[in-house]
Amino acid sequence: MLTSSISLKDLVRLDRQIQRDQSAPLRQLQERDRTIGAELPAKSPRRRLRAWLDALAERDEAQRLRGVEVSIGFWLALLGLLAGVLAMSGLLLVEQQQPVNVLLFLTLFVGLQWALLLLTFIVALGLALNSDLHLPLESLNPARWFFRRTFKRYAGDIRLEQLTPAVRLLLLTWGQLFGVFFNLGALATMFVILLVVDRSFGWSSTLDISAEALHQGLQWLARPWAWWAPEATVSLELVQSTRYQALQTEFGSAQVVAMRAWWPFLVACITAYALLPRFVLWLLFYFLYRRNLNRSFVDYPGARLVLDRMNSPLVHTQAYAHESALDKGGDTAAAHALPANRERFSLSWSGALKQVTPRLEQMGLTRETVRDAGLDLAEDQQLLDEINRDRKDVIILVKSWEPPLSELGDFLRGISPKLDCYLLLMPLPGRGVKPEELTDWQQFARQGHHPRLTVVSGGDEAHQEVRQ
Amino acid sequence: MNEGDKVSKGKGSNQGDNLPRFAVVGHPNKGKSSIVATLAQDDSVYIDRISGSTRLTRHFPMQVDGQTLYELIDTPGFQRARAALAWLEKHCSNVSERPQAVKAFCEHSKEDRQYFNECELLQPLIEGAGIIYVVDGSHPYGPEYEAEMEILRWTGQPSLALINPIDNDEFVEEWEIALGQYFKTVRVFNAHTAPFEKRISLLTLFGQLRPQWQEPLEQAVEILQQERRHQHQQASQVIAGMMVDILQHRETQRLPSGMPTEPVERALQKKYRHHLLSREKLCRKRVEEIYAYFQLEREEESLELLDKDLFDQQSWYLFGLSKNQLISVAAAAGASAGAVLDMSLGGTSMLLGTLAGGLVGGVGAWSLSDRIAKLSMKGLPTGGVSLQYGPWEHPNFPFVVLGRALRHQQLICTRTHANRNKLSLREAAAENPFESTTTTEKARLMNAFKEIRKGKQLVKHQQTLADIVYGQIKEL
Ligand SMILES: Nc1nc2c(ncn2[C@@H]2O[C@H](COP(=O)(O)OP(=O)(O)OP(=O)(O)O)[C@@H](O)[C@H]2O)c(=O)[nH]1
Ligand SMILES: [Mg+2]
Repeated sequence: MLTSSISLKDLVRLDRQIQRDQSAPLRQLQERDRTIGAELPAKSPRRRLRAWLDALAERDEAQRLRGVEVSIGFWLALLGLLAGVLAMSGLLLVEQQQPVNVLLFLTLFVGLQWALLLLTFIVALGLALNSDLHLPLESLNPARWFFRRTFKRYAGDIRLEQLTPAVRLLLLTWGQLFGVFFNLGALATMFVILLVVDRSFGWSSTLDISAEALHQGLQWLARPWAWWAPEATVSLELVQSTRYQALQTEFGSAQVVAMRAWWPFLVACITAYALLPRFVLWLLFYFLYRRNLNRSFVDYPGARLVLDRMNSPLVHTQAYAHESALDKGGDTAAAHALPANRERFSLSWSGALKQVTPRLEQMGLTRETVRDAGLDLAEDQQLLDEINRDRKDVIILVKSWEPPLSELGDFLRGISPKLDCYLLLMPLPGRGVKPEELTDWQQFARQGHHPRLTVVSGGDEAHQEVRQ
Repeated sequence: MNEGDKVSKGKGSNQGDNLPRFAVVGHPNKGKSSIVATLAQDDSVYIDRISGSTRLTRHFPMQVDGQTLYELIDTPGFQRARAALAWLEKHCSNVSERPQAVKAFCEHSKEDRQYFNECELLQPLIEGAGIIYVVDGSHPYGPEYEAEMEILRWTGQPSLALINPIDNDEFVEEWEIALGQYFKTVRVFNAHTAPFEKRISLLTLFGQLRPQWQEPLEQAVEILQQERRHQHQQASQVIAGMMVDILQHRETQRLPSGMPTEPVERALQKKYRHHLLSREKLCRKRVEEIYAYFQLEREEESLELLDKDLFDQQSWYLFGLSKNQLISVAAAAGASAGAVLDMSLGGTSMLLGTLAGGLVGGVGAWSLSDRIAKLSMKGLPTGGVSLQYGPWEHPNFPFVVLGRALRHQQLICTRTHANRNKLSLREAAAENPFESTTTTEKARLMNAFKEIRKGKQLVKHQQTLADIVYGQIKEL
């Protein structure tokens, strides 16, 4: 249980790691997280995420963050203690001529704290109801200032505070911790002062409050402990006998003795109405904070993606080695035309003519003048012999849509280099020769299969020229 | 049986010779590499209009946690099929020795550059790969294919033929007849547009080439389907994350009192826009990576477009909601939606007018604010003012941002890895991304947007967004 409990430091680390991963290549993250995830025996998402963090986040970072949460608590406790000491000694020691006014004492140590408790209550309620009415109140919390200052150093911009209610609960927890130590400090100071200095208590008010009414009120206050600690209550006589006037400095000795009897009641008041509620709230908020923290950890934006990467198998379908890019074909050279009125040897390669028959006439060719090639290797050899004997220009009709093959290259190599050779690209009826097809063939022509090889696009202009 | 068992069981039976392998072979430039790129989801494959773009055999193993289930092999096209066949015929008289002859041919031609391509493509077949023969259904059959198919038959490997209708399907029937004489199985498969299910069923078909390949291929198919759902989930999380970030964003700046605010306002506005755009870009890139697109080119002007789109009122309704929709969604979102509308209307009275107007069919009463966000100023106790630009004000803004993300995701996941065209959001803008979203869902979205804007319960609302987005894209 202990190992899987999450602390704020983990949330900060998680936040930072997720931020860091945001711009890293996904494939890399997938491989990394799957490797970590596959080896983890832990099943619960929280443990897995924690283990993932431990595997990733830098060691010293964890070290640095470790103490932050604890040290903020420590400083706040110390601050509370100091504030309590100062407040109590201020009240008891500043004006030594007169007795300490009980009414003032109660207002400061009970009334004021109840007002603060009320604010805490509103903040907590706001948090529970997700309203933002409490936001201005939240800024009154000294813990918030501490948190911002300290965590800013460790966590950069404080996204956490916005993202998770856990942090707000932590601030509330710290606020209570401050209160608990404030009251402890105040109580301790009171004991010490009463031990070494003779301080008496009385009461005095500008308003016309009767002793009976005050007694009634105080008895009501003391009700929670009256039945088991009767010495910590006040009697009517005490109230009556300890009233004093402003500016009064002389007191009868009986009155002075009576005035010393107030303190058990006051201690009980601070304990029951200030220390105890603070302590209970501290425990409550701390519990809520831990619960929320554990939940926020797995729910943290981006954490799901991480868990997902850890849990699902790494599927890879791509090739590993990189393909070396080919030199791309140059621009399409200007289209050439067939020479007019010259004797020539016409060939139809791989049945190119079959698909383009309607155009034949138009191009000044007839079926008889065109011989078939590219079907049978032995026939091709015979054709080559004939061509090299006749010494006429050679026109080879090819399918523009089919890629040029080395086979054709072999054939061209067999033609005497002294003859002019033309590759006439024949498109499918109604489609025309596409620019990329022309580029493909022109690139082929540059490969040196024949020194006097020209590619002619069988587009309409070419047909015209053939006829002239 | 859980998955781990299945995989490890597969391990034993799939290694070495038993590994299902498929060599994609055929004439040059007929889409062999395209088919491999699509099936292997590899957008780095070199695909070009010019023939001979593939020079060497390349292997594309399908791996799960490093363990190979099957392998696709891309090969260069035949260049001297007739001559190769002539060699084979010369060196073999007995039909039963034909596969041996093919092997001998490759060994004999190792040093011979002339048959380099033939050897490259035959080598995997000699090693036991199944044959996937590819032709182009938009151009006619010709006699030059016969020698190729004959050689393939000589290898004695199980085979199937794919007709890839590159430009159209004009000659598909002709091809079906021609191929039927050489191949038991002939299928039409468009390498550039095949949807996911089509690819999956093709892989299943591959598995039927040999009985012992069936199981690993079925297993692979199952994993690929799982992976696909997984990709959708991840994409929805990423999109929701971006939304939360953008919807909350604001830029602030302190200014001593008495200083002119206008230049600061402009600077803040610029910073705000910059943040939005870069956050959007990051999300786009992640979504592309999730679907294994690493080299995708976006339309050159698309960055500019993005800038314009997001801030151009004219195109708002292309991706977001129309005024009427906004009104009805706001009404459905309940009382709390009043606040959203108020943001742009500046008053409840006007809102009432709008709703009434909306109900009787007139929308004129509602004039949307012309800005996404606006500047607010706050006096500081220490003197001076604090200027803040953002968060968004316009109720349509989040819908536009989400709509664009959905459109992008949709384009990515319906694309194939063989497609080398630039991606253009604008192009596919025919259908509004919220066409099929119900009003209730839109209302849920609107409420979530509003809450996020206030920074409330971000974790919960991010999940709401992710769920709704997933609901939208899981059908793709
Ligand atoms: N529109 C469209 N074009 C396609 C399709 N299949 C292939 N192409 C195009 O056809 C050309 C050749 O595709 P590749 O995949 O390189 O063909 P290949 O068979 O590998 O070519 P080589 O490697 O040169 O033998 C490319 O320009 C592709 O864009 C398709 O289904 N539709
Ligand atoms: Mg290729």
